[in-house]
Amino acid sequence: MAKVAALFFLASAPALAEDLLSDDDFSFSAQATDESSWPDGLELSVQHLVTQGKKTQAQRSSIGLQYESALWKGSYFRIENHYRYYWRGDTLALRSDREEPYGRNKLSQLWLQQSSRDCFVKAGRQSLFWGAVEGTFAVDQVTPFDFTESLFTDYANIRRGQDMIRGECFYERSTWQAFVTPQATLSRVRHRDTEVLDDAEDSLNEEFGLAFQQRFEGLDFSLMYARLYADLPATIIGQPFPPMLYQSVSRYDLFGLSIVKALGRLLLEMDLGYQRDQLISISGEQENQLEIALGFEYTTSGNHQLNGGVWRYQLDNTQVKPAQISGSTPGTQHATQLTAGWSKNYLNDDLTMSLLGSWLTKQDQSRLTVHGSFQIDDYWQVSSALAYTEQGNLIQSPLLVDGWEASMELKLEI
Amino acid sequence: MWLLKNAKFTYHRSPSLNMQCLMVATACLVSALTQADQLPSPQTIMDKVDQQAREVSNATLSKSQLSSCDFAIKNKKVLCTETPRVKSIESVSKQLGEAKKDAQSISIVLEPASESGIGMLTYSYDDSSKDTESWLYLSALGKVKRMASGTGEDQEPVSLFGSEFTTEDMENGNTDEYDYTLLQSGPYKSREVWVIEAKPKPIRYAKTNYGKLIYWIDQERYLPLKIQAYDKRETLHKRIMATEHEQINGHWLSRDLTIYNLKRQRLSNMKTEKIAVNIKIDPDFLTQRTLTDFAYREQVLESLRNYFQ
Repeated sequence: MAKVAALFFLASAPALAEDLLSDDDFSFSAQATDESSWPDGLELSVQHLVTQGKKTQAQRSSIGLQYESALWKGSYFRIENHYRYYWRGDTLALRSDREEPYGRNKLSQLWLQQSSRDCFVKAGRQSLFWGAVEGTFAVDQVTPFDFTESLFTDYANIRRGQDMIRGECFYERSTWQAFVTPQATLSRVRHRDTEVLDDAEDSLNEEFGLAFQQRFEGLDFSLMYARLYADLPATIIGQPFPPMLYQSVSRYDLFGLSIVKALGRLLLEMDLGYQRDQLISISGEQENQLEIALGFEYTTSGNHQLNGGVWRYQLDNTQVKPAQISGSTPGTQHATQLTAGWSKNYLNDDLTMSLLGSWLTKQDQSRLTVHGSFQIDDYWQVSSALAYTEQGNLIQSPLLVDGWEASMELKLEI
Repeated sequence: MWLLKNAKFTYHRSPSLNMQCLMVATACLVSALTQADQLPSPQTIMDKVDQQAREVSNATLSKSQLSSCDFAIKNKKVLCTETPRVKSIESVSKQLGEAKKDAQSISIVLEPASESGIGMLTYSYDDSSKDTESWLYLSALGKVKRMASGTGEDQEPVSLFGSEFTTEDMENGNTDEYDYTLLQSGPYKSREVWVIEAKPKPIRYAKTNYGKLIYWIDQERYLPLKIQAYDKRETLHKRIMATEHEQINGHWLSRDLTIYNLKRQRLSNMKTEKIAVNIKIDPDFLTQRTLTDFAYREQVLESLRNYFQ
């Protein structure tokens, strides 16, 4: 009833000239906020995630802490830490549904930034992302992955922060960037039985790189170089008689080029990555590889956001069913991935709906994902995703399995 | 690995909005809905209102709070019928060009926690052939992303951070796209006002949600006290009330704006909590550096905050 009265009260717009100067006898006062009730820069989060698929399941709870502040003039400090509890049957993290539940801490960011004149130096645990075409990795190869994280929600956590020193200098329309990682790290695919990965990681040395970006009107142009380790070790057959398998982490050079061009509401993106001396599984030979990714993003007049892309890269044959491996290409084979996506916000931007399709043409792997995220209020958010995968000619892995998979997450942030 | 494309599932909030207006929301909204001396012509009045709004937006730092909720009326008081959604935003902007109609701005979300740290840098141009350039800082990834915004006028107006204010409400410098008629003049809420009707010309009609607007303009301060926006069937759609008028550095602005969406029974209140006008802003501050170099950003902001009024 009150709403009806309000509508009548406000909608009784003055239609006659003499009404135009009458006083509108109503008022609204916004609630005052208590600025001192919460420390500046401190954020806490609590979340619970459930994933259920044909062959995978995950249930995990986490508490997160973030704090950031300018400690002194010209400095900035940030920490981001999560403690997660993996419930029994979390096959994503444990790779077995018989293991006991356990907790694990993850420090994803802990860095100090110092700025002076045109440059800053940032030292500590951090992530570095290169490239323009999202969802492709032609040049985005610096920071490794954490595959124990759910890929459906909270994607910020799927990278594994590294201890790094990074410097950037800014000029009118250009930026120079350099980084050094004293001890390189590998991607994580599980939490237990990681001895082989740990040993491989211990053998790694430093990584370093340099990037330059020039910005023009409607155009960004970037060049990159890095001396890197691969994110995961390759399995090599060492001796013909008797055959002996061992693991080795590829050490290679990456030369990258990224271009982003804005044309009205259309954004065109390209990443080109040339990897020199990339180690090939099984044979142990080294080869040079060229990857290219092309993408677009377009916002319609009705604010639907569309995106698509194509990514051509070299796929390791250890991921492909033996019957699909040609004798002439024992180490790797070409793979072309096509993607198409849509997203839109509804309900005062509280509800975001997305749809994403992907197809690996030669290997005939496809996947369709529907995602929805609803902001209940300023603190609570619920997200869910539903995905269907057909692995085609790829070997089944715990990361991607055939069939339906559903995920739901509830998150509180204060 | 392609699942990482899920990165698309994140922040898609109003990439094309005219961010320089966030900082002086009150002044910009005023000019936005206006779009233009001694019983001056309605066009002259609205041009002067628009000019003042742009001057208030020039070299300005502000901290604003944006609250939205469903509402009802009780005892002639407008009340939220739910817990308001509150966003806090700090912004810096500068007007450029001969007519001061080009703009550069940067806005950073301070609250709520789920959006904290998201920043947007925008370069917008008066020349309708030049696209707005904008870059979004995704705090979760620590990455700056260029956005394709177009001219900002060739798409449906979008909500400003989920509020009832839209990008159209935030535009300025468009007074030549309306025909103005003086409907009445006289006292309104103890102030002498002109009541002016604005009807969009054909060039504007295609890209606006409004069929006409009526402004109550303070004759002394050239400041709108109230605006009514009608849909294209001339049904009242939104009512905007401006209060807490204040003169800063010779320019009048309203620190408190409330927009009532009468179709949706929802309101948004934009309160300029702190503001500094006509301050000296280092040109380097309105660049991509400010999105990623937090140490530099905080150092500059800390010095600018000394000018808050």
